[in-house]
Amino acid sequence: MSMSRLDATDLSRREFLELSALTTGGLVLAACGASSPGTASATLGPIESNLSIYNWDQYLSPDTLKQFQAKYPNLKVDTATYASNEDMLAKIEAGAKGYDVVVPTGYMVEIMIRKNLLRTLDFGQLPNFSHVDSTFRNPGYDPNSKHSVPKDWGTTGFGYRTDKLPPMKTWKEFFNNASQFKGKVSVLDGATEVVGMALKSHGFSYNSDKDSELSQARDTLLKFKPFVAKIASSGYKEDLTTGNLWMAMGWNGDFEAIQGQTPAPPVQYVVPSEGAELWVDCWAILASAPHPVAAHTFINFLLDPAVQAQEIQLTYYAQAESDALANIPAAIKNDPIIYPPASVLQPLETRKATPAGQKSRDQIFAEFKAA
Amino acid sequence: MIRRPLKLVTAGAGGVLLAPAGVWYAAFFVAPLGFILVFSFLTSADYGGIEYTFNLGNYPQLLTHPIYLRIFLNTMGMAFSGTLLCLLVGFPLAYFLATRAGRWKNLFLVMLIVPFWTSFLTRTYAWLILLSDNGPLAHVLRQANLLHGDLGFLYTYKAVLMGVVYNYLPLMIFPLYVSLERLDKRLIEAAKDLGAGRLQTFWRITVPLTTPGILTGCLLVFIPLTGEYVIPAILGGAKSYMIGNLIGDEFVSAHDWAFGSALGMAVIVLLMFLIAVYFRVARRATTAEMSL
Amino acid sequence: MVTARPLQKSGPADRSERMGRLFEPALRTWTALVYAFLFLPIVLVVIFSFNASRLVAVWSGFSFKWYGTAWTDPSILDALRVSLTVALVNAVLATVFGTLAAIGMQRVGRRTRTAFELMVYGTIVTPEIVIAIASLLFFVTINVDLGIPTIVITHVVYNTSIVALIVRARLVGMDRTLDEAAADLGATPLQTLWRVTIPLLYPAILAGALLAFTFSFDDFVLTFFVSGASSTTLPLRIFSMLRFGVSPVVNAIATVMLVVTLTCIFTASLIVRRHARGDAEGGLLLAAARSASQREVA
Repeated sequence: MSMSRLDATDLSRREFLELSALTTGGLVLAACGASSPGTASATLGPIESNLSIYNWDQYLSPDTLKQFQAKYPNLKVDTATYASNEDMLAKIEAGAKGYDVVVPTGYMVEIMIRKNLLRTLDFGQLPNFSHVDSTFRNPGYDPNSKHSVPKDWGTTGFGYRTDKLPPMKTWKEFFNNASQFKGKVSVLDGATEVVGMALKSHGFSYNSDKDSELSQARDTLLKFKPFVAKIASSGYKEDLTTGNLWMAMGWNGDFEAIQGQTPAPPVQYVVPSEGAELWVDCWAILASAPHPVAAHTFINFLLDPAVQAQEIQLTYYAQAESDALANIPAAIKNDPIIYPPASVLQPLETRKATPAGQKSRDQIFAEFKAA
Repeated sequence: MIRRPLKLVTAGAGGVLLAPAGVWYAAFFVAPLGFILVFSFLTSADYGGIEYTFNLGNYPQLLTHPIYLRIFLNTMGMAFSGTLLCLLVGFPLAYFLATRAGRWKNLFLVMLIVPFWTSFLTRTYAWLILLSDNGPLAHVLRQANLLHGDLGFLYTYKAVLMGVVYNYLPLMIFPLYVSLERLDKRLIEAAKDLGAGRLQTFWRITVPLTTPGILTGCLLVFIPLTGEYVIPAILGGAKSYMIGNLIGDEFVSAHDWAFGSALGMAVIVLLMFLIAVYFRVARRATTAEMSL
Repeated sequence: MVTARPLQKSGPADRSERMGRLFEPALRTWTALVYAFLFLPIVLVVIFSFNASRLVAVWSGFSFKWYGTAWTDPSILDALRVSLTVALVNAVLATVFGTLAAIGMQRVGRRTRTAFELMVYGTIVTPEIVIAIASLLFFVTINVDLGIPTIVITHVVYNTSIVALIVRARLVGMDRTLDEAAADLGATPLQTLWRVTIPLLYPAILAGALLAFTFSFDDFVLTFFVSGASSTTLPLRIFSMLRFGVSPVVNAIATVMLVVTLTCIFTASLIVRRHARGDAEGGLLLAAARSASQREVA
């Protein structure tokens, strides 16, 4: 396995192990993933004539789609988008059956596996899986990558206008100094993210299910609420650019995209020192997928390192393939926002709330929204 | 007047004509509402789905957690302010249309609905551009030296009310217009002859006589406002979380189908109550009008 | 209390008269302001659809390029196709159901009529979000796949009521002696319906059909909840584009939609004008506008 991405981001072996521990259940040899068990390819027939992709908004490069169409001209590709993992799960659980490929985040992969919503992948049809770094091959949310392959990964932090606000580095400042950006701050529209970051500001675990800790997070949020302008998981990119917002909780790639504009507005992204969420978004095939062969074909196409290199230039999220780095511009692969140094990665947590914890988070979040 | 029944067309024939719509309503309106009634007494499964276990807890949850009551109250407050604003903005316009527009009346009426033939989402989002801190409005105001700093209008409660007036105004104007148009002009003439000023005539004759129109307009605005979903989400930012948004979230993000169903039922009951009140008040208003 | 006093056209005006004189200009100004308020966003959308710049609110020259972008984007074209399919099928079903129901309502007993009216008003008054989640749960539970059929089914419920109301408004003002004459001349009920009643109702039916088409074409909330794979409609597509701010492409799509719907409506009103008395036309317009705004905002 190539280690070039890790070389490029200058990770020591110890730090590399830490990243592994965060994203996976532990290190697994490369060969292991490639031969993961799956449905025998014999049961899958020839490629179907349709493919339906259910993805986040603006999360797939139009160029990639065009190239895929050019390669498979007889395949009609249909795309639909959703705004959050929960949004997608709601639709799938409500019996929306025609979709083939979805893009759940790690924790959602776990939930969907538990609900038997995902199909076991046939790695015989995913030869490009061999490019996936071993770090991502046996994640905690999906042992042995039986149901998912990594699409990209990133961090959840905050970004602010440096021309309007003094430097900030912590969630504590984000929540407690809000009077400085009254009516100019947005948070993600997700109970886990918002409640989780409030937990972090107290130094608690992102995934804490303790009532005492959750109630402290709740108090912080209710005090913070009067200053909040917007609760939305998209659009903050544009609002920070125009100046409608000065501060926003969000995903690293979005802030990176802001800085990619000309002229670039003075926006700084921060992974707060208390820690934050480290997430991996995945490609997965639904159990109800009507076109599994086309779905495998598509995912395999996406796992091509050249395609990965193209995707990162749209999404600005780190890829899970070192082989792709050769084709990625230096400005992106050396960017600490996209490939953060180990010191930043170290305090991060992945998401893992229990159903009961989720319930309290939803209730706190509804209260936050109504306050 | 009682209409003479058609000789050859029996009540049975009428029934046949009603059948397709009736079946459709029964299957796809009444039955779904029945489903949420049933679901509101069941238990939500983790992360969505439903378990068929009887559960009386959804309604008490609604009443015992102050936050849900607060959302209901906020919604009622928003619906009330929105309705009042529509009335204040719409009445003079309806009055103009009914009494001053003359032969341009139809053109004016058409002009009133033309904006509503654009995509609803787009015209609401158009306000996002307009009100943006770097938008055209801020630009014009800054040029005119009327604004220093930020507009600060977007993502506020005021912005929601503005969006509400923008989208609901015709609902208020049309019933007002109808009742103003029907107004017996001789009463106004009589008032004039008696020496009443315009304002006096307006307050003492026009307004009382158009009460039924006012009530209908208010009902037409208030009722859909209680279930408003999109406007608060787009223009209100974090400042206006309404029942509609809560119901949507219970299904889309919290995956609590049973509680969401209970909320839906609560809204229906509330609306039924409001409509009953309306008919009460409307009847009294009509009686008062007749005794005038 | 109004006191008997001669009208003073000139001379020293009292306070109320002074305000009375301001009344006319104030009324006009207010009317002009409200119309400006209603048209401002629309005009803005149309203007910026021709803006060469990608940035909204910064004018950098005239261009048709966003129309080209929209026209070559397969996801937009697919959405357009879905929307047209849904709106057309919905319009046909709702028009048939609604027209028959409106006629039928006049020919049943009072109790049946009241019950039916309850359905018609009930479907219009119930908030869209409640109908949306109820329909969603219904489809999930009876195990129906979400998609174009479920969108159509849900749209038809509401639009049947709209058509029924509009057609009924026309029926009430209609001369029934023709129906009766046809019956007296020995026409069967079906013949009377097909050759007398429906032709007389034609303008209202057409108006209803157009409204049903437009509401369905523009619906967001219902569609959002009951859509599934391969059934992304134009409003859903627009919504997901708009989550990232207003783009010139969206403005271009909205402008095209505006032109198309306006053409439909003006054609309809021309037909209506040729076939109906002015009175009926006014009533129609009112019904149309009322339900339009009601639907649009719900």
